[in-house]
Amino acid sequence: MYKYLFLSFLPAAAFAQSQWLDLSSDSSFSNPANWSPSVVPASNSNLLIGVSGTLGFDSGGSYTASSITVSPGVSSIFAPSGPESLILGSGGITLGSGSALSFQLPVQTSASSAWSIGAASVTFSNLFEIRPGTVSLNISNGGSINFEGPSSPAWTGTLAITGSGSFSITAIGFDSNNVDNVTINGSPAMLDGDTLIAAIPEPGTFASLAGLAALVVGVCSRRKKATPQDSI
Amino acid sequence: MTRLHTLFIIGGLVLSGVVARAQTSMTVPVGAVRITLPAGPSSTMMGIPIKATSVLNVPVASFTANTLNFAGNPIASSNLTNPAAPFFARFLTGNHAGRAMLVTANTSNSVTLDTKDATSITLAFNTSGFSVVAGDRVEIVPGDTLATLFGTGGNLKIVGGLNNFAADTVSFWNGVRFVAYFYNTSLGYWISQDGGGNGNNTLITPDIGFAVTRKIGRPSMQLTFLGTVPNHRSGIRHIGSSSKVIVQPLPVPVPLSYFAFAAQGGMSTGSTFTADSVSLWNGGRWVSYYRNSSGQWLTPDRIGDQGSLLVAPGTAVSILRRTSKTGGASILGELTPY
Repeated sequence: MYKYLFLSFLPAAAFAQSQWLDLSSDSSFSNPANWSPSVVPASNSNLLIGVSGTLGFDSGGSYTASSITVSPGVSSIFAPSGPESLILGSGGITLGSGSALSFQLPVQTSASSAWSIGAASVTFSNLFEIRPGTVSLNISNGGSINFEGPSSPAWTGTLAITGSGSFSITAIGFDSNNVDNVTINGSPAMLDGDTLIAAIPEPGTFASLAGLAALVVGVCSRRKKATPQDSI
Repeated sequence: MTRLHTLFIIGGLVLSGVVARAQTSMTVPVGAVRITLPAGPSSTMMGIPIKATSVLNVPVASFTANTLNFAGNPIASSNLTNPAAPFFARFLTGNHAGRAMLVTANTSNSVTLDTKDATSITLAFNTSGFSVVAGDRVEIVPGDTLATLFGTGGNLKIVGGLNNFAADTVSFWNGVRFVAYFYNTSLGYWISQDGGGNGNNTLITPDIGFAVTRKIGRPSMQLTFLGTVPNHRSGIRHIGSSSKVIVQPLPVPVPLSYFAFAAQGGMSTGSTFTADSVSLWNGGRWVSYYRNSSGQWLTPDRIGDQGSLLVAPGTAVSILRRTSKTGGASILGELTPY
């Protein structure tokens, strides 16, 4: 009995892991032969994407994954058959170095989670909703995030992005409903064209602005001193 | 025979929404409804929002459990049961008003109908307390299949492919999940994601909703449906303990409260866990609405009564009835708002 009580408190990481290998080359999620172990992943599984190509969702409904991990160098496309959607739980997304993940089906989060994008690339081409909780997303130099799908008014959660170095975040489909719920390095986000940026400059930008201000003050000061000479 | 005229127009045309000649008319009420499919990747929940023009409109002279007999010999066609060109009979008046059923056999003065209405339970015309009566009016209308509505070969209206992940798909709710069909460009016919051979003659039942999924890179697209405006009560079989995806069948927007089906059948009230519910697709998921005991339509996504929320023509609506229904209670019906 105590054993069962203990099991109920296991963290998300304790969910079963299924590795996508697409051994039958039919791209079908519902084909057990495409997975290791060779069974169709149960709800709340941890999905490990081990090969490049299309992973076709064909359940005819929504599928809930606890987490998604993409191996280094792998480029994967999550494509729907019909009106399938993906619900992502507390395990979040982890992308290996040089990998790319593209969601062509709608994605909805169901719990707070941490996503590690790093220097990889992730694209949401369909509807993307954070509801509820907070998605804490970390990105690093060379990484990119592309929100290409339509804006959703149903966000009830927050997307908190932290990053360093040179990275890009585009949000073609976003409007204020989404942008108001996004922060970048702790600052509210805003749209600069299709690019999502921090509304308050980061420390490095502050230093540049301070230097520019000092330069302006210096020039003005020299002009003041020069004025009497000009009047001669 | 004239099938439902359906035009698919790619690109941005000027009109959107409803084009109907009149909302009140004593003439033959004809019109058109246009539905826009967004650029891919996208899934649109829709249905045929307007009726095909009837080929026959007659009173019932007599009937059995599943056969309707008419006076004279009004049916000129010797065969209304061609799977590639199906016909449906729909009651326009009486207890069964609005109910449409597939014609499975016919003579020159009778039609035999599938009284299961795509459910697992028959509802006979001589059901005690809910019987057809002589004089009830019935119309015979051409129906549609995947091939007649979405085309084949060079006449294909959406994009085919080698598998259901590359091709655009049309998906039907089977009670548990959506089953996708796509036009296999190698085989040259429509086929289910589950296989099963040539699916060109897959029925698109009147009043049913379905999903059209456009894959990435496809442009926005408009579908224009020409036909006849319903001028009778709706009547959709829903035997309960399940969900069914239907279409908003009228050429004008209707409020969510229309789906209480107060005229026939009726949806139960209660809490989010006990009430029958109506769900609308938001592009990525179903948003459910239910009525509380005060008659307010509530949803977790918004605050306040949503009963006046407008549902556009041709929108697919998922109807959850929590308990099983028999007899007349298994028909959901509402009057036209015009």
